[in-house]
Amino acid sequence: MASSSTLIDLPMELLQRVLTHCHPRDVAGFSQTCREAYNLIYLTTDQYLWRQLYLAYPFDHPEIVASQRLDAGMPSKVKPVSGDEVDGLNYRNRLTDLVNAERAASKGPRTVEEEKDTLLIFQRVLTQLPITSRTEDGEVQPSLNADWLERTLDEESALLTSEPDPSLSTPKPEAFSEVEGIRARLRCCLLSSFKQSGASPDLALSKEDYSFFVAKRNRSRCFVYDLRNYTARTHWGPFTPDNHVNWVHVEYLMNVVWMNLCDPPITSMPRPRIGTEAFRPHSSGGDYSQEDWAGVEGVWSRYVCFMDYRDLFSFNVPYAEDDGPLDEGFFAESTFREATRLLEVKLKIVDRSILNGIGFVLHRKYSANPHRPPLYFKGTSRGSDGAAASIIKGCVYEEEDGSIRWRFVRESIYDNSPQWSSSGVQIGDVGSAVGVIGVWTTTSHDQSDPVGPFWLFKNQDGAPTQVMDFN
Amino acid sequence: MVLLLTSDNEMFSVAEDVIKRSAYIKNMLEDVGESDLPIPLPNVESNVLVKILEYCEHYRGEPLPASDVDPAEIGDRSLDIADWDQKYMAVDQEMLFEIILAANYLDIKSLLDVGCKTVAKMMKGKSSEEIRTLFNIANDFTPEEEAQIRKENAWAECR
Repeated sequence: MASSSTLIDLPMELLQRVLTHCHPRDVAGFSQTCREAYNLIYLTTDQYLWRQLYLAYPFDHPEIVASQRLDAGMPSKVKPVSGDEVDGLNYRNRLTDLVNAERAASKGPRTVEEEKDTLLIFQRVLTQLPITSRTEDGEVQPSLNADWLERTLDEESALLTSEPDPSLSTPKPEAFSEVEGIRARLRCCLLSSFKQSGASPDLALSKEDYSFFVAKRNRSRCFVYDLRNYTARTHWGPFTPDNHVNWVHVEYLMNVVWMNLCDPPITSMPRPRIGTEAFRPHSSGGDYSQEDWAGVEGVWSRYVCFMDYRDLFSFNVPYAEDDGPLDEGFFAESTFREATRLLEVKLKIVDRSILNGIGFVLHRKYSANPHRPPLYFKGTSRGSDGAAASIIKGCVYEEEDGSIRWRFVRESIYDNSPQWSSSGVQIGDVGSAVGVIGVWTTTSHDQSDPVGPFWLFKNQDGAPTQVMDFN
Repeated sequence: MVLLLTSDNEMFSVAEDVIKRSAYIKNMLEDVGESDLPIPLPNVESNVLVKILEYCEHYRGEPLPASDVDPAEIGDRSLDIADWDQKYMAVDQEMLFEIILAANYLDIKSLLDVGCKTVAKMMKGKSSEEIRTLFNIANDFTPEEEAQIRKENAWAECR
């Protein structure tokens, strides 16, 4: 017996047990030492080793995540067969994809194909996060996958830095490639160095960071306030002609609102939650049910940003003769001002019939998901101007591409006719704390009507919003 | 006292509360009750049993882990090993693997875990060539196979 006591002569189950304590990279190193090691790691059909390595990495338990998501009517890439058995769940492929993606994020992808594959993997993790669960004390149980994304994605990584070619930015939003869309979507959960919330008003940006910040905001404004991006072709919102979400546009909208909240940093302004935890289903808190799967009912905060109308007009003048990008320099003028207003929105679900005759198309098509019928709502919107609250009517539904869309109108406070229309998309999953990003404009959609970004997010525990303006 | 008979026919007399760290012996004592007959351990040599008993003696009085909890099942990748355990495991490789085999046979989960972690720690961050040298593994791949397998492991490369 003594003569056989070497590593490679250990019984298979003990060798596997040793390997379950290793980093997957060390397991890969061991697999290249000899045939027996290779066979044990790559040719065994049972998933024990790879499953252990996956869970110990650590990642969320995919079988539990999938069954909870399916129970709540959420799309899931994993289909449970019966009990614990899950069909088509290949732990080895999953883990090796993720380890490889981690390297591609930090060192940069090796090839164009790998770049796209890696972005798709990150997107899959982001869109399949576990439903937010709370302990009895109301503490959120953090998601391991969300934490992994947070640690792994880096805005400065070569994977995410390549920005869309500015010469393409207008007037053809459909010109963005799938890869650029995913990149933008992933960047939406980073928002760079401005993650510090409320507590510290001092953003402590270096001069270099501040000029990066200013350039990024101006580039975003340039797209957001370009009226050519709001036509029937884009469904007057951040959408492509075939009605998919245009994530590049969404990212620009988000940047403008977020950076306006950060500069100057006003601590009393409530900030929406950001970061990957805020992307999880039901992370906004509150109650979810079959009747209110989107968590509509409750108190919301809504930021709207806008330019002075004359500025908006003069910024857009050149487009009559030229279809190139507009002048970013416009926003660098010291006289330029952009306003941000905070509104409190309270919503209740109503029967569709109450919304008849508002002369506004709430949705054309919606997904066939029986767990997500369109929900219709009515409510109020109140600003700080002392005027009476205006009425909001709208709809939330799942688009055929699986995204959650919000459309609503705000009535004129003078004659109750629908005056302002808003169209947005839920960032992250259903009921996400990060909320809804979109565009407001007029219901008539006349050429050269004003437009601006909005960010709608649910208040914690139904607390009221302290409404205020700032410029 | 419990009598144990090793594969090389050495008889050990051990206090019951010491050897009960072995779930295998503990279950056997519970099943057959008190007995004057020695328990044969045909898979354990006396020099290894001495080492195992040193471990059980050290942890004498510490609560036994619940029998249905296997630390490896929880998915623990930390390679933290207690100081005493590290010193205990500072043995030659042959003894290290003998301890792992005996801990598995005697069903001493905590010791098996420490043994496996010790080996995992030895492999940490090493290239396949370094692992081969460390554990005296003969490379039995053809150069073609080696190239193919390197490709298959490209996901784990750092660059």
